[in-house]
Order: sequence, then structure tokens, then C-alpha cells
Amino acid sequence: MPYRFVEGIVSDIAFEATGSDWKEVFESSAQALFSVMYERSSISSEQRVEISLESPTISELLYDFLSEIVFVIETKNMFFSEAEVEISGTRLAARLWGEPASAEKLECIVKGISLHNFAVFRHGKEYKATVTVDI
Amino acid sequence: MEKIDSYRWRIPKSERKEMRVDAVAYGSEKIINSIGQEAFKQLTNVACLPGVVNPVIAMPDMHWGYGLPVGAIGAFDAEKGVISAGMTGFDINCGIHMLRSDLHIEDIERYKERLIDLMFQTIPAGVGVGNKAKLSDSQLDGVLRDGAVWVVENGCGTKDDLLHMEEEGNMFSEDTSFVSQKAKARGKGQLGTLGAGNHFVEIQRVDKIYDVHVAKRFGITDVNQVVVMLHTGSRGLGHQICTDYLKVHSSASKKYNIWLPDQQLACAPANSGEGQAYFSAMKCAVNFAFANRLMIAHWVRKCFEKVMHRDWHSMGMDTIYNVAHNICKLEVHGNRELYVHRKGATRAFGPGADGVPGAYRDVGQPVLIAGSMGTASYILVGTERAMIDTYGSTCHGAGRTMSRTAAIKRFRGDRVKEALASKGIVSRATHPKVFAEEAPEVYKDVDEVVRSVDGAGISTMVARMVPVAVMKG
Repeated sequence: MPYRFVEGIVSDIAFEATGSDWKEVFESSAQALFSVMYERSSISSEQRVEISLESPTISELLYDFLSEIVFVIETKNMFFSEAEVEISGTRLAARLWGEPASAEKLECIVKGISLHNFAVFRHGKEYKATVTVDI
Repeated sequence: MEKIDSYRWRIPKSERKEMRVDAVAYGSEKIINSIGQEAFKQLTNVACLPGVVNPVIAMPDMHWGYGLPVGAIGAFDAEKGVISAGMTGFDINCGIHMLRSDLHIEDIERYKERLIDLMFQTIPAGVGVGNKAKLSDSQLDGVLRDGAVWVVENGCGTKDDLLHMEEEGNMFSEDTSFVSQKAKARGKGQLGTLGAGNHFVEIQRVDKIYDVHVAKRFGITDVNQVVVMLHTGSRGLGHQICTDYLKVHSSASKKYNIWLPDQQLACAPANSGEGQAYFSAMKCAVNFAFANRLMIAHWVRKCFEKVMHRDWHSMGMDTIYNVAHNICKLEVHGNRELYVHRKGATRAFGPGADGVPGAYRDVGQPVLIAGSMGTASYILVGTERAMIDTYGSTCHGAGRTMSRTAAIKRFRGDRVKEALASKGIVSRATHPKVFAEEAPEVYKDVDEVVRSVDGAGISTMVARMVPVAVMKG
């Protein structure tokens, strides 16, 4: 799994997502976010929602992407299991696959994406993001 | 850290070269030793921001969060200081609404399961359990502009409720245009929803009365008297306002050349367009939260009516108080206008202070402190000492000591629920994991936290309550 939850922050949840390019980091970050809210494997892929975004930097693009997922989950009342992301520069097109939200599957409500320790960086061939989620 | 007295500790500004003012932490030695270094680091970060007023304050329930630690207060000069969306946090005006009653534990003992079951069916939690009706654009604007007044005008509360709420349930935000369409879209279906995590509705019984005179003024007269405490905030609407203005304030920090020790402390000069736009939007979220809690209180009353076959008025289910735990407010302290950021902290205005409801003006403002699930909660009262020492503020709850991820690994939800049942506490949650995340052991000892603020004189104990039945979102 290209993400892991990081121990530390007491009131919230932090994760680290890695990949061989930004596409993988964004997709892994989305999966981590889904896993904060519900058991991702219990969600089917029967419906699709599309997201398009453009931001000034890759860091802001990830922040906007994850914030948009939180917004879409709440306003479309959907849970997602998979995210497919295409990135061109600092533009993004994503397809989220999931099903209508249900009370029984909800484990945690995400309030928002914090900027505390929020970072995207690249070391050689490894691409990485650290994200703290307010729950 | 320097010891000032038994309940106060100072981190002098000499500790870090960037600190402009001292930080002062409140708590017994035992409590202070239980707080991780990261939380103190976050506290000193706030002391580095421009226009910060001496001192930055930590309460005994402080713990490591993001930006300003949870359980802390940062006050900033209204002219030279900053306003920060990140410091106030996502859960704008998360707080407590408390109802008293004339009922006693023996009156509800055999109905407590039915009461909590009915509440569970009646009060939506949030995602996937959306509200029964969505507000129209004009209705939502009414809530954002008028707060709990809108709820009363729509027949779900009384004028007496408003007279017993912080700001009388309305921070007067005339202009709702600073709230984004996205925030409005999230808020439309969420008025009267509880949310999840540490949000709850709890039926409690009075366990001890410490101050008979003040307790009587708050409607508490007997041990074993039944009260209801509910804890929630501005839901997705407030979360989105924070998300929106974190970005605005990140840009503003660069524009106005403000050095940030933590990106989450993104802020703008208080008198700038970016600062005031956030303040207007935040007031709308504050209003939404006041309205949200009163709406849920209305449903709690209706559930009691249905189960007990009595009118809520005849059961004396009046509002004791409705108070914010996460908020930024423009207040006057020491003849200075300040933007006071309280994150996981409660306003605790003392006797005679402006802003204390008329009914309580001579005794001080009620302070409502939620304990952890299965442990005690408290009513305290604000003091003159708080007005001098802590910008009229005190603690807000027990304060976590263990992360949610660690709690899930360590505890099993079903066993936590069984442990509550063994104490006679009925509990319901949308998901069993919530019981593990919120297990009483992951919080500090609320009794020790409250003894600390009482000992420091920044709020004093009025009554202690213990849980009878709890609904978690």
C-alpha cells in the first residue's frame, strides 16, 4: 500500500503517501483519505464522479484535490473506493469511483485538510506527500 | 518552563528568539507533565506572530493539534495584530448546549434506552444520514445572518433560549457574501445534524453540587436531577469556510510578509480585507452552529415529550446555556480591543461583565465542560480573575492524551460499550469504532483538569454531572 498512517498528532490523523510520480502520490493520498472515513474495500465502484482542478503549485493542487474530495463526499453523499488521476503540470483531472454513502459504513467524518506539516516533495525517483486530516 | 504557582507555568519569550511574548500554561504539575512537548512547541509558535498580546495561554486540557494546540488562547491587537482562519480551526463554534429539567434519575431510569434510541433515530449524524430537509438559499442566508434567532422564528426554540446563549445566539453577520457557494452547499443539508467523532448528545444526572447559590441560578437544585448536554458545531459549512480562508490567509501571509512558524497558522492583518472577510464568514459559521445546537436541543425536547408523554415546559427543560469552544471574537480586555482566538477553550466571563446574559450577570457566565465518554462533565462559572489573567477564558474538556489511530489499535469498540453498560450507561454510536476512538482512557482525568482551573481561580466549580445515556455521532 503506497500510503501509511503516521503516529503522532493527538487529535487528528496524519498520513504519508509515496509514489514514482505525482499521479501515484495523488491517487494514494485519495485512498488514504477514503480509509480515514470508512473501510475502502467495502465500497463498490458502481458510480463515477469527475473532478477538474488547476492550482498555482503542485502542493496547492494536492491540497485542493483532497479538499475537493471532502466537499464531493459531503454534497453528493457518496463514498469512494478508487481514484484515477491525470496530472499535467499543475492541472488535474480525476475520476472517483464509488457508491451512495451509508450510515453503517461511516467510521469517521473528515472536517478538512490541515496545512500543519502539509508537504509534497521529491527525492530523486521518490515522490512523497505528508498530510494531516482534521477529524 | 518556570513555575509561577501551583497551577501556572511560564515559558518566557527568551526561550525562542522569534517569540514576541511569553506563554503561560495552566494546570497542576501532574497535568503539565502529561502534556507532550509538541503541544508546547505549537503554543510558542503562536507567540511568534505579529501583534500577539502577552501572554499566549494554554489550558490544562491542551493537546497537540494543528496550528494553535487544542486547549489554548491567542489574543491579538485589533489594529496591529492578525486574524487567523487556521488558528480558529475547522470546527468553528464547536460548543455545547445544555438543558436542565425538573426530572430526577428515578423518573427516567426505565425510559433511558427508549430516549436514546429515539434520539438516535431523530437526530441525523451527518454524511450518509443527511438531514430530512435541505434549506433553501434564502433560509440558509437567514440562518447565517440571524443564527439561533432564525430557529426561534421558525418555531423550534423560544426567546428564553436566546437569552441563555453566548451572544444570544447571533453574532450579527449582515453580509453572507463572504461565505462561498461551496460552504453554503455543505451547510444546506446539515442544520440540525450532530456530526461524528467527539460530538454527542448525553443525558446526565447531577452528581455533586459545589456552589448551591450559583447552581440554583443555573437551574440546578438537586443531586440526581436530570440534564442534557449536547456537543456539536457548524458542521461542513464551518469546515469549508476554514478550508477556503486557509488558502486566502496563506496568500495573505506572503502578501503582508508575515513569517509563519507553522503553515496552519496562516493569517492576515486584522484590519486587512482578507482578515475582515474571514471574520465576516466566520461569524456566519458561528451563527450556523448556534442554530444547529438549538435545533438539536429542540429535537431532544421532542424526544422527551414523546417518551415521557409530557410537554417539555412541564418537565422544565429550559436552556442553561449554549457556549462556543472554538471561536475568534473581538473583545475588550484591559482597555484594548483584541481578536481573541479560543481553540478548545471556553469564554468564562465573570460577574458584571458585558456579554454575560442578564439572568446571570451578577454571578458570572456558565462554563460547560464536557468530560470523556463515561466520565464526569462539569458546570463552572466565570470569574473576575479570568477577565484579568486569561482574556476571560478557561478550559473546554478533558483533552486527549492518545491519538485516534492509537486508540483504535488499543481498544475494541464492543468492549468499551460493554464497560459503559456495566456502569449502567446506555450508549449508541453510528459505528463501533467510535467507541474505541473515544474510550475514556484516551482522555486526561477531567476531574484533575477542572480542579486545576478552579485552583487557578479562572473559573470555579458549580456542579458535576455523570452520564446516564449517550448518543455518539
